[in-house]
Amino acid sequence: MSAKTRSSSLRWTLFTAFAIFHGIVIAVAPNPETPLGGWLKPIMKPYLNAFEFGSFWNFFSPNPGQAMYVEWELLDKNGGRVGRGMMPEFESPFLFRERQNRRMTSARYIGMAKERPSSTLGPYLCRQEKQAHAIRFWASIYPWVTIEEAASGSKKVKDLENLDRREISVHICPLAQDEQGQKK
Amino acid sequence: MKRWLKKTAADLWKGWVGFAFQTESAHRYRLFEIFFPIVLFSHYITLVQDLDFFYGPQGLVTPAKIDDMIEMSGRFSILMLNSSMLWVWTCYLIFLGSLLCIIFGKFQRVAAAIALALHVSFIHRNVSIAFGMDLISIFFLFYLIFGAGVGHVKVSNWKTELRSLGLRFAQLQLCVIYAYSGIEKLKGISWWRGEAMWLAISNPQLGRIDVTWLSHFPFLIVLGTYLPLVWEVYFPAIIWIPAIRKWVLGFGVLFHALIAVTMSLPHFGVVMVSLYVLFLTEDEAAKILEWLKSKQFELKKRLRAAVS
Repeated sequence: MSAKTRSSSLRWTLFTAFAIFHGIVIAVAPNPETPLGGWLKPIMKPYLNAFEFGSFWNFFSPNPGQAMYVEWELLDKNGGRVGRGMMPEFESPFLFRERQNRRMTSARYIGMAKERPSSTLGPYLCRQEKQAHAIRFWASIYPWVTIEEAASGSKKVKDLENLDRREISVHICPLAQDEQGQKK
Repeated sequence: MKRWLKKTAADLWKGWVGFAFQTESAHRYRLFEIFFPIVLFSHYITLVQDLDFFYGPQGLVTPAKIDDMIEMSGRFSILMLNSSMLWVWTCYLIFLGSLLCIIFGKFQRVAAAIALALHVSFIHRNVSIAFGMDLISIFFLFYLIFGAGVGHVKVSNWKTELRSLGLRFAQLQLCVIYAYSGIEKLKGISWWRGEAMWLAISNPQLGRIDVTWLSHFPFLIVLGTYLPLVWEVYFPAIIWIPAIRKWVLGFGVLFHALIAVTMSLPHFGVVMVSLYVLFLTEDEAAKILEWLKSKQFELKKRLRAAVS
C-alpha cells in the first residue's frame, strides 16, 4: 500500500467515524423518547447543547397550534389599572412580517408557564412603565372555529371577541417590593 | 465464505467512499453558499429594529434572566461576553459580514464557522424568539463549514472530500427534517381527520386572508391536509428517484409558496426552497451558476455605464 493510499484510507476512516456519529445524532435526537435515544442521550448531550442541534421538527404537529396572545394590565399601588397591552398585537403593525412572527413565538413561550412572565415581560414592563407596581398577565387563546361552524355562519373565522383568557400570574415590580420591604 | 465476506465489505466500503467523499459537488455547493445565506441575511435584516428589545441589556430578557429560560450548561453565547448594546451591534454586524463573505465566495469556511457561532449565540441569548427558520439555519450553517464551492472541480483531495461529505449531510438533513415533520403529524388527530390545513390557515395569527369560503369545499381542505403529509413522510425516499425528482421538488416549491402566502411565514418557505439546490444535478447547478454570472456581469456593466 502506497503512502498516498494509506493516508487516504486513514482520512476516510476518520471522516466516516464522524459521519456515523453526526448521522446518528441528527437522526436520533429529534425523538429522544426511543430506547436508543435515551441510551445515547448522555453521549449526545454536550454536542446537542453546544450547537443547539436538539430540534424536534414538529412543525404544525401533532396538531397546528392555537393562536396565543399574552395580555397584561398594569396596576398601581392601590390595585387600580393604569395601563394595558398585549403581545403580539392582533394586526401586525410591522412592514416586515418576521417582526410579528418573533413576537408570536415569544408570546407562546411566555404564555406557556406561569413563571415565564416574571423572567421576561414582567421586569421589562416594570422598567418601561414607572407608575406600575404590579402587572397581571393573561394567556389569551383563540378558540377554534370548526369547518361546520364556519360553513353554517354560526361562528366567524378570526373573530377575536371570544378569546379564552386564562390568568398566568401577577408580577410585582421591584420598586413596589422595595417599598413593601421598607414599610415592614 | 470468508473471501465473499471480504469482497462484500470491500465493495461496500468503496461504495460508501464514492457516495460520501467523491461526489462531484462544486457547483451545487456554490449555489448552496449563495442562496441559503441570502435568505438568512434577509431574515436577520428584519431584526435590526428589534435588537434592543430582544437582546439589549434592558430588553425583554436581561442577561441575569437567561438561566431562567434555558439550561446554559454546555451552551454558550458570545453575546454574553459583554452586555452592552455596542457589543450586540458588533456581533450583529460581524454576523451579517460573515454571511456576505460566504455569498461572495471569500473565506467561506471561516466565515461559516463565525456565522454559526454567532447564530447559535443569538439563539441562546434569547431562546423565546427562536422559531423554525432559526433552528433549521443552525444545521445548514454547520454544513457550510465543510467546504467551499467551485474550484477543485475534478481534483480529489481532503478539501473536495469534506465538501462532498458536507453536501451529503445537508441532503440527509433536509430528508430528516421532512420525515420527522411528517411522522410527528401522524400523531395528531386533526391530520388524521383531514382538517389540519383548516386549523392552520384559519388561525388569526397566521392567516392573512379570509378563508370562510373554503369551509364550503371540505374536499379541498382534506386534500390540502393529506397531500403535504404524504409528501413529507415519503420525501426521504422519493427524492432519490431521478425520474420524479423534479416533480418532488416542484411540489415542495408550491407547498412552501402556499405556506408563505397564506400563513405569513415568508422566510421559512424561502429557506426550505433555497435548500433544494442540494438535490440538483451538477450540470443543472452549473447552468444556474453560469446564468447568475452573466447577470452579475450585466449588472456590473450597467453600473459602470451609469457611473461614467
